[in-house]
Amino acid sequence: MSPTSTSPSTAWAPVRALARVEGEKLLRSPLFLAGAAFVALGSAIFVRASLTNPSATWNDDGWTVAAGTIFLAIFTMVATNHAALRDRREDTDEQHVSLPIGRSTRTGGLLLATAWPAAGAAVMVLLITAYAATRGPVTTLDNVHVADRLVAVVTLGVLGLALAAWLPSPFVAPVIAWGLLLITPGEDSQAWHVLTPFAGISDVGLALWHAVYLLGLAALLGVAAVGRTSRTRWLLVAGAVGVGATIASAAVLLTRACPGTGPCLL
Amino acid sequence: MSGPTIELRNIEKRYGAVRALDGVSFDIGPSVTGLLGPNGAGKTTVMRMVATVLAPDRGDLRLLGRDPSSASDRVAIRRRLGYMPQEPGFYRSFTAFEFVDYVAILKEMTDRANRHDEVRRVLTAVGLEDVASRKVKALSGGMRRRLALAQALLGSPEVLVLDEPTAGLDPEQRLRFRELVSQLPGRPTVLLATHQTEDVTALCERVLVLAAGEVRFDGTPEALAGTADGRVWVGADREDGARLSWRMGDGRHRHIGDPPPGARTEPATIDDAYLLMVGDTTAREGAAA
Repeated sequence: MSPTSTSPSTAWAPVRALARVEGEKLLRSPLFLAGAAFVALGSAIFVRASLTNPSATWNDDGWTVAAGTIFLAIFTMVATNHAALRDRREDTDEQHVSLPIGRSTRTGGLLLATAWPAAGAAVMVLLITAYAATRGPVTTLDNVHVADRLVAVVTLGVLGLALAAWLPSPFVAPVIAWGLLLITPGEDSQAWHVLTPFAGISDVGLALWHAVYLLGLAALLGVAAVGRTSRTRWLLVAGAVGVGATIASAAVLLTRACPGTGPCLL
Repeated sequence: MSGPTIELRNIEKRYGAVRALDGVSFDIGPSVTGLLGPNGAGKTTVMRMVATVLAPDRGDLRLLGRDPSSASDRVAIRRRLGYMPQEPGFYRSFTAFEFVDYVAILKEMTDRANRHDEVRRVLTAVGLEDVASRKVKALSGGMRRRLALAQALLGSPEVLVLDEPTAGLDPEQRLRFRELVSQLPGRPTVLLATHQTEDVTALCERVLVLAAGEVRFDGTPEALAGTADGRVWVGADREDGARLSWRMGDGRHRHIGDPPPGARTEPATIDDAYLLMVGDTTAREGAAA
């Protein structure tokens, strides 16, 4: 490439290039690293339990790792929000407006970059799951739960971007993070808790539906983030798929996982 | 491209009740053109329009033969444009290299290896190659200014819009800037807004003086200096006929204005001419302040 030949080879090329830079930045972000520290802590607690108590199982004692992934997903949301608000924080809008790549492409790069923290989370969680498998049974349901948590990392990462697009204030994401912690299902779960990002469901099929629900939400939130500055047919299609997946999976979860009004979650 | 690359015809712009530009017209082709004017003259408004950041309220603006009010033309223009704003912003947590690399992606340089070569080239051109791995927040004000210049140079743009690029630079850095601009490859169109008349004298083939939203002068730096011929003189004391005067190092006073009969006039500089031309404007600003 000569210095002046700046045309991208494809429309996706700048998105991929931005995703790489942003993804690497997210992985090194103190916020993501703080979330990762919770997963490491949860893993260490499980490993210690398994070493000191031969009867410890992934199903009974792996909840410490699952709790760590909740914090990882929430910290990822704050990290992506922080990255998306960079221009506002650093006052670089004026400079960047004069460049050929617009804001929607940059948001697209950030969307794709959420795959980096998800991949980082996957490496950590799969390592501890593999360790757990050497100590005792790891069921299909356990694996689906792990996958569901990794999808939650992506969904919350995308939520951080949508919040930055529509409510561009550094205070919003921490407030939402706190709210997500408050609605995380506990001992007194209600029916609607099945629709929260960290719901644990005691059925493989329904747990998969929960992952579909989170993916649908991620698509909707992604469309909301990019759609703030761009309207394309591609976005409409993605939005329609997101709406369909979210409504269908939410209906299945509410009617089959929680047919009554009482507690129904793990 | 032959012919003008920047064309303004009767451009008007208001900010509320303030008329920032009032019928500004000029054409610029490949050259280094200086834009002089006091604070509030409308320089930055012109620069932002040429950088496609701001649209005029009235008048015709064409850049590189295209109409920036059209979205597709605007993108085509931005591909061939480099812009250094008056108050550049930076990603302070990025290193100098990372910041310029990020801007390079936004200039559609997507091939990683070639992009990194280009980033190294512009950082070397502005003398920041040794601090490329330093965080932006750890750079001095002058280094940040050069970093802003480096990102504007990415891709060797055909139109380079530099808003006060030498503000805050030390004398050596200013000389390096002049060397850099004078050696730009491909003879681009450089529009340089500045308060530094020395930069205009040293670099510009043409100078525009903007005051109160109007073009007061359009010509060569020599012609600008020529407008003050016979209106500069030196005397022992301050004189009433002078619009501006100051005491020089040797104790004598240099005066600009209408010399008294018999006064011995001195060769005028671009500074003298500029002060005569915009003196009323700056005096009004001073009174208002």
